[in-house]
Amino acid sequence: MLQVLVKRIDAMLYRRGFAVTDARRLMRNQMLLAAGGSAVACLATGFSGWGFSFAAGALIISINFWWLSKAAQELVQVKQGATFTLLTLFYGRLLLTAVSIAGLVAWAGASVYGLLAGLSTVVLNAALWGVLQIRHKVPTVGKGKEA
Amino acid sequence: MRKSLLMTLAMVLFASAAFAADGAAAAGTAAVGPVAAWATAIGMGIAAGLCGIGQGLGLKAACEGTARNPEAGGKITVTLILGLAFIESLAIYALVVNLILLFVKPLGA
Repeated sequence: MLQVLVKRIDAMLYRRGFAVTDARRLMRNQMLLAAGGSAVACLATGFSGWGFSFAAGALIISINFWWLSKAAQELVQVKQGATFTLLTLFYGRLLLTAVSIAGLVAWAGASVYGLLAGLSTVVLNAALWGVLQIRHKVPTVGKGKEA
Repeated sequence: MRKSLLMTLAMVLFASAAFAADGAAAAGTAAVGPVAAWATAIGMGIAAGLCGIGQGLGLKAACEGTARNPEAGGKITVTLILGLAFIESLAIYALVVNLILLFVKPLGA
């Protein structure tokens, strides 16, 4: 079930321009972490304001990470004529993030701690990625100096 | 051409300063806003500036690395994305804290 979901998400991300495999995996992990975390937060808190704030924070940061990944992939290999699109993407993303967070904090009365926890999913994702990368690099036999 | 541009810029700057001074004189001492507003403005400025420097350094290194070794572009891109996400999350945290100071007012106005 999870593998089918992962394959579908991967295929969707590839179609949307995530050509680099590791970038695709990072984005997929972020999507799963945000969706799973939001579901757990909403269910655990009985669909309270904290849970919804967490979900809103996770959604905002996931969209932000999506656009950031796309911009970074294109920035490293800039195609001719893509500069304006990249700039629009970058500043549009910043503006949307700022406006939505301001709206949630100032007018919607969202729980600040829930929002911060939701926004932290991207840091958690990156930290998990780093830990997994270190784990994969640890040699299983010997001291690692044989090669 | 350059001279006229500079003159226009100087006039605009002086005019805005003069209008601001008039407004401040009319409002008396109320021209100085609440401390929280100044704190959020300065705090966000510092956060945005330092995060901008960090992201710029990261991007510069990534571009140099890719130019020297194009085959490593994929791995460099992933590291760049992670670095940018880490740095930008700091700026977003700063934004949230500033918004809390400005709108929720946990320490009072």
